[in-house]
Amino acid sequence: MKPLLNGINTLNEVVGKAVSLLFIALVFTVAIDLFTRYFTGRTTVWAFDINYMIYGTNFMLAGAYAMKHGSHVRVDVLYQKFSPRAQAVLEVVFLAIVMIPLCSFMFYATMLDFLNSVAAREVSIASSWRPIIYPYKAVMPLSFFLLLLQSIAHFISNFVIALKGDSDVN
Amino acid sequence: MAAGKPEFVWKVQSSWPAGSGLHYLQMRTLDFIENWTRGRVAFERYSADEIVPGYETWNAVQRGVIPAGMACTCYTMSKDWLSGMMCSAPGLGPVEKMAFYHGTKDVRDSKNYETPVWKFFEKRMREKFNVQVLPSAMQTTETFLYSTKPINTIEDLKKLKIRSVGVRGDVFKAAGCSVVGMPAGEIMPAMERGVIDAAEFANFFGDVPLGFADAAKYIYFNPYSSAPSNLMLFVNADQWDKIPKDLQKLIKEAAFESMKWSLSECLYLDFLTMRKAEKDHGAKIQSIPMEVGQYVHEKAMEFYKEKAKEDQDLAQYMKYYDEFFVEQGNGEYIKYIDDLL
Amino acid sequence: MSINEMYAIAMVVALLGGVVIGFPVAFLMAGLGLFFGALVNGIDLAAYQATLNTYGVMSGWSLLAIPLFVYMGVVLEKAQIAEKLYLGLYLLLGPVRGGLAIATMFIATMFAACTGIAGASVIAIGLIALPSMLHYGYDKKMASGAICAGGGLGVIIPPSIMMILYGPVAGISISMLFMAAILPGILMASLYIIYMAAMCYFKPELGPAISKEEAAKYTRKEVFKIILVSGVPPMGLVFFVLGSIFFGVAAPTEAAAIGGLGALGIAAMYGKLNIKMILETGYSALKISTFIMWLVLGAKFFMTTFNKLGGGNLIFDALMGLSVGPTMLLIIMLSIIFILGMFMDWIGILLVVIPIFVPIVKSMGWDPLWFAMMFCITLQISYITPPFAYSIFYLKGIAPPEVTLMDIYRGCVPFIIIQFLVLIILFFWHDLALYLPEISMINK
Ligand code: NA
Ligand code: NA
Repeated sequence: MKPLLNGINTLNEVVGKAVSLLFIALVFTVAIDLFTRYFTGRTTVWAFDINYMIYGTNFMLAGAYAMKHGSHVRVDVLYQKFSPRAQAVLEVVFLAIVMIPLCSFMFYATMLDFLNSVAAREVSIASSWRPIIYPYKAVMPLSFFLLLLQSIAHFISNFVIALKGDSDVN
Repeated sequence: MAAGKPEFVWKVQSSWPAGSGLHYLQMRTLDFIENWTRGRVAFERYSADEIVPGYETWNAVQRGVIPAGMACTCYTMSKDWLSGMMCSAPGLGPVEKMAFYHGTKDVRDSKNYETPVWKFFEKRMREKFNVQVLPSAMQTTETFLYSTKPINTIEDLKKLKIRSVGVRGDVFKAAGCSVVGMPAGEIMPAMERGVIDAAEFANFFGDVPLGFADAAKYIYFNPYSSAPSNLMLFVNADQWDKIPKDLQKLIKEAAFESMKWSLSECLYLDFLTMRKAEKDHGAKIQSIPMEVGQYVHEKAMEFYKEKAKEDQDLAQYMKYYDEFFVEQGNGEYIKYIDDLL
Repeated sequence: MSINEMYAIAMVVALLGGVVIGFPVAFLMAGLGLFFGALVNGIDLAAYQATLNTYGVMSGWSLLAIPLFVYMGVVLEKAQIAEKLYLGLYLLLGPVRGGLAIATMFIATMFAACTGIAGASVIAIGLIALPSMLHYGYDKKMASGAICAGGGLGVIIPPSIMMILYGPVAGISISMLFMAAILPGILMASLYIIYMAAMCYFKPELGPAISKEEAAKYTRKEVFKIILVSGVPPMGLVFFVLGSIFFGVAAPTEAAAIGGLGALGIAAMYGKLNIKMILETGYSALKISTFIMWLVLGAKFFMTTFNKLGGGNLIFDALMGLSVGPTMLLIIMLSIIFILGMFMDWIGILLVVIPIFVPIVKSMGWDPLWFAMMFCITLQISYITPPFAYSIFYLKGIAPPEVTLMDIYRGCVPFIIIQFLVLIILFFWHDLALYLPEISMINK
């Protein structure tokens, strides 16, 4: 079990750290477009599409990374007062009835959309640049898949805590 | 009008919000059909976002989530560029367009749907989107530009940063303008703050309530290259094939009647709104200078010809276009009537 | 009541229940939206809509400002600008009674103008300012109240993530919201400072002046230099960012990117820019902006279904059906926000409540910009009002053990009163919010 958990954690850590670099890319693409417009009076044809692709990839793929680091906001006023074991039981319940079904369903739903997009050779019509859009649509199923993996990892480690009261896994 | 129990009840969503003029026009088409078929078909009506977002109406019908929808064909451009051409591509006025798409010598029978170009369009929409298309509204030309800067020369035009999408965006780009994509809600603030200089959106009577006449000092129409949008009713092909032939014929006739009605209604609404905009908002409505208008028209035609070299479907469309306008000379005489239409 | 309306109520009950238990808000909202959506519309439509909602957030142009402003704030934080500035102001104002508290409020205002999130400001200012205020014998209640209230300025004084989110949801331009927030924000900060200066002047034991020997460690020239070096660049950046929006050079999104670049530049000036710092800035910014974006996503899932079930109309009808005057209606609406603010995150409240309230605001003929300010101030008040008060919890998390939760609660009370005062002033004097937006329109 341990290699699986480690594998998932490492994967999402790597993905998160990789997409964090996109902030710098985003700052520059937005700034380049602004400077081009300010100094030449013309806008770049690509900035509009590139910008949302960068930020969308950035936060979607990092969903699992943020989960790994416990960054998704929760109101922990009561939660903090529970024993570690009670917290683990709550986590297991939450992951089993909300998180895992949610991520599985979203993986299926967005995969369907991605496949339709590939079949139609879909292009973006948000601007007159018209880049192909299906590679970007692949970000959706990929993100939910990563989130599903992270949920499974959390489920296993919390399940162990809930059973034993403590854990050496994770 | 003794309406019995309807044989078919279709959910239909339009791609515009409930209070908008375009939604109103679309709902009138449904009235036409319900009356014309004496209640054999009935509609459960929805506005944009009630089932899916407005721009997704085509996809929803294609996927069978709803049996029918109403939208302009521009929304399908992400999967099929030519669909945009059938909508508000600069070039033809609405009356010309109606003649081109539906003109028939056989006035005694409803052959309006059997012109080569319409049959070509119908077939493609079936193959690509699994829908049966019917015309629902032919609109007056869309406003050429809402601009914060005056446009007196071709150079003035080329200097502009314009929010434009669809085929019109492509044509502005081909004409040398700087074209930006931007969602509808951002246009006004972007224009107010000088991020863009000008924008095109839709019809005058629909745009003014959204505040376009307030943000832009200069409002231009282009009488040399009109761009009316052609709204459609479309039915999931599996649903369409289920209904009897005689009913199909009635629905087609009703849709056609509503299209003709809508043009006069749009014109009336445009005039009314122009008057109001000038009086209440101090809007300055004008025609684009002739050299600029003609320049855009030439660039549009060049762009279509160029694109047709790589796009077989567009080449086919342009062939029908040439047949209608050049070989048959049908479009020759429109200039004596009113090109703005 | 129809079955759909009962589902809508069930959604709200399940949401509040789950939030109080401590489930992650974003996924809870997404799950509820999806579950009830599938229940009512069937699996196919639910799947389709969920994809559309997801892609909608991924291609939302106005949301682009969120990662960019978060990034700018985190860069400034990592460049440790606030620490230096604090030292300078401390040396400058220390000899005055209550000087450190005033300096803290200046820093908080500066910080507010750099970042857009309350939590980050409270923690950062708390870490810098609380220990030294306690060290110099400041009253721990007043010190902690000042930090909580000062940290809250971050969401009022632009740039504010709250307004960046508010704009698209309510259909108001973000630049206009920024302009509207400047004067109320400054008024609030000024009232805080006046209050503390007056209190310490009359009761020196609350905030004694530091000794002459302590103050003499640095010459006047050195003090001036520290302030110049540490205060001017970030101040310049803030004016540059807001100015470029004000004068129409840049859209708020673009201004944020320029702000990010400028912040990197300032970090380089201070010799803090290196690979490690850049990487770590990215990780921190990613955690913050990711949780915000997923919250937007979850709220979108929730609201799509909730509105389809007629939930929005239900609340709209209930509020409009109350036979009360407009003032009372406003008080009821603000109370709802205030109460929700006790146990939900502000982003969640904003995303759920604004789509329902905006039609009411319109039908009452109130200025939406003015209402937005009333909304943001109310939410900010609920943020430091016991028992559930985020800012207070954040501060307790980092405060030394001798500062109890009760101390912080008590310390916040005067500041809560000042916030209510600003709310009341704004209620009677709309121009406080509307004056600058009008000017900037003429100026364009
Ligand atoms: Na258009
Ligand atoms: Na701020």
